[in-house]
Amino acid sequence: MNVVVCVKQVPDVEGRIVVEKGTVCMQGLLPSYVINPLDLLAIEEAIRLKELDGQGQVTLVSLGTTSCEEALRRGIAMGADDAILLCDPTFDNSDSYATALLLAKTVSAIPYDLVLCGQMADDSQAGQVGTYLALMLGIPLVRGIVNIEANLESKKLVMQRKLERGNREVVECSLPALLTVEAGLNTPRHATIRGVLKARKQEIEQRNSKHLGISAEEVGLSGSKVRITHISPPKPKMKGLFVPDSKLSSVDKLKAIMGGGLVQKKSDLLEGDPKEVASRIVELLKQQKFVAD
Amino acid sequence: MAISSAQGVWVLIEQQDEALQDGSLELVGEGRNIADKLNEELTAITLGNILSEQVELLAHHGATRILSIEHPALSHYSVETYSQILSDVIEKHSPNVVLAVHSVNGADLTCRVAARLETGLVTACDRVDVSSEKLLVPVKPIYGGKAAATFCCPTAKPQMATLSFDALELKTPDTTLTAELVNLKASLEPEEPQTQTVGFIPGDPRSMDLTEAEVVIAGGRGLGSQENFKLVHELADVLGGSVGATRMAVDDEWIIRDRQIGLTGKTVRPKLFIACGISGAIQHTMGMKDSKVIIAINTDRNAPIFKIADVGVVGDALEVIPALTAQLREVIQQNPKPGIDEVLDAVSDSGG
Repeated sequence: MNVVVCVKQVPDVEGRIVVEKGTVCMQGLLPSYVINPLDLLAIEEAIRLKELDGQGQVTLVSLGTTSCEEALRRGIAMGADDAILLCDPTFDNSDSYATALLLAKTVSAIPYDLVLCGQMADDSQAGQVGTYLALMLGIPLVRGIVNIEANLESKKLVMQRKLERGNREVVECSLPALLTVEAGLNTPRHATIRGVLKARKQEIEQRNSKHLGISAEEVGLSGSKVRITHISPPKPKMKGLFVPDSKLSSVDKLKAIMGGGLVQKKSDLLEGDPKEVASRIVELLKQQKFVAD
Repeated sequence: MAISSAQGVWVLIEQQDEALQDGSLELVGEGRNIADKLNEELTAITLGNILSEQVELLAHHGATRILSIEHPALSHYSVETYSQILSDVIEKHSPNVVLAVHSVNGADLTCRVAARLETGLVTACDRVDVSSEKLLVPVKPIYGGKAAATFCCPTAKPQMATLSFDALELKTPDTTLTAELVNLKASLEPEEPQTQTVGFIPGDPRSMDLTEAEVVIAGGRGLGSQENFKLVHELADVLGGSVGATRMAVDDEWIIRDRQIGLTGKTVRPKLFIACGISGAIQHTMGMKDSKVIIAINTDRNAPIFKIADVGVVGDALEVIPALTAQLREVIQQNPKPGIDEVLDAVSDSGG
């Protein structure tokens, strides 16, 4: 099975990230960049499916600066066969749409049975590239996959798709297809020493706008549908707050708001007989609709 | 799509088994706000049948027009069919703004519609506003919530955004408001879907991953023993919640390690978190502080958990939890679920 995996190198969002002068800065001595965690699952799944089939190629495609070679080499060390880096100053600031356009130009020239993407990148948190890409390639799309069973003879996949509240939808589709993968799909393997050595030597093909035959207007900021106008530190989260009594008079409500009482988290301390306390909690749970009234 | 002619704010109302999807009414309120700022009409879009009381509800929250799209293919949910029909209707009516709730299926549908229409979409927004140029201004968290980005979509229409559940707030309805119901027969003949739904596996709170749970009941050392930890399981069962624990409870083998919440365990942000016998050491609270509603039960009134709790109960969890479980069982009229002992036994099987 030939699988193309779209990979993004992202800052480790667990690291120290702050907003300074309207840009996102990584702090610390060694800012660490990683393969987007969900893309890592996609690489693992691609290698697993290739091994299951016993034949085929796993090709990684990434859009980024030359430093993204590092991420691609890590993927090759895990067991991917090949990697392509789309790298051109005109590609900078591409949104999901423009990114997908570049990927579509690249992927459509590679023989593939399956295209895998992480459901979302940790940095932009958009979760749209896979969807745009599938529609541009004109292939079936299933989003948010946590389990794949492949029937290689009939070229069919049966998948579980993550819904809310732990629910799963079981979806079937034929290849070729594009899947976006979610947390829980697998546990990515570690690179082997042999893999690391191979990855170090392997040439990573770089493609620019000329190779792809794409003009500067089609990509980057000018080819994007949405653009970021401003980056700010996150707003402190407003905690959902219990208003102990929804029957407060307007005057009292106003007082509470003007006193900052609705923003500040002030916990109600309940005390006394367990049964009474329990019934107050039951009332609160009803108010908040955790249990039916 | 001609940009200048784009007019109107549309909110996409999802339905599930004839009920309005969570967040729908909040979304209408948000749409009302945007429509007012743009001075445009607010239309709620539904695909398939809508009940008259739902029309009323949508009106009370600010929709002045309900556009109910009808098509035989809509009787059965398929995101492919839905996205084709919706895209076609949007193309023909050219709204200026389209908003939806960022549910799993809502995001799936709107992403596909944006791709079909080749327009921009900003997903999982914290809030939406209107700029001085009368453009939609969605704001969303990026970099794991460590920054917030403000967007605009200046060159394509409609301007689309999905709003996170967390961002949506229910406004007080105005029961005097009414809306015009427009039934629209969609003319597009959708293509045969390329993917088929062949099954549904309901999530089981007892076994589902803690990060997916909407209700988490967690126990700590204050419970004293594994036998007492059973109370947490019982409360979780009656609330349809999943059981979590502090590291101490896990180390003492009261529950399997997979259920540990905190720095060395999982990070959860359920809608409801009940902390039982948990003092609130930072190692634990880092994994649950973003829960929407936190109720804490602890004997020590100075316990740090009360600083982050919405409601604190100063009392013995061993007395309060059974009382709470019993009263909830009465309210919901549910009998104890069997099999708790097997859940507890799993600890010894897994080696803790």
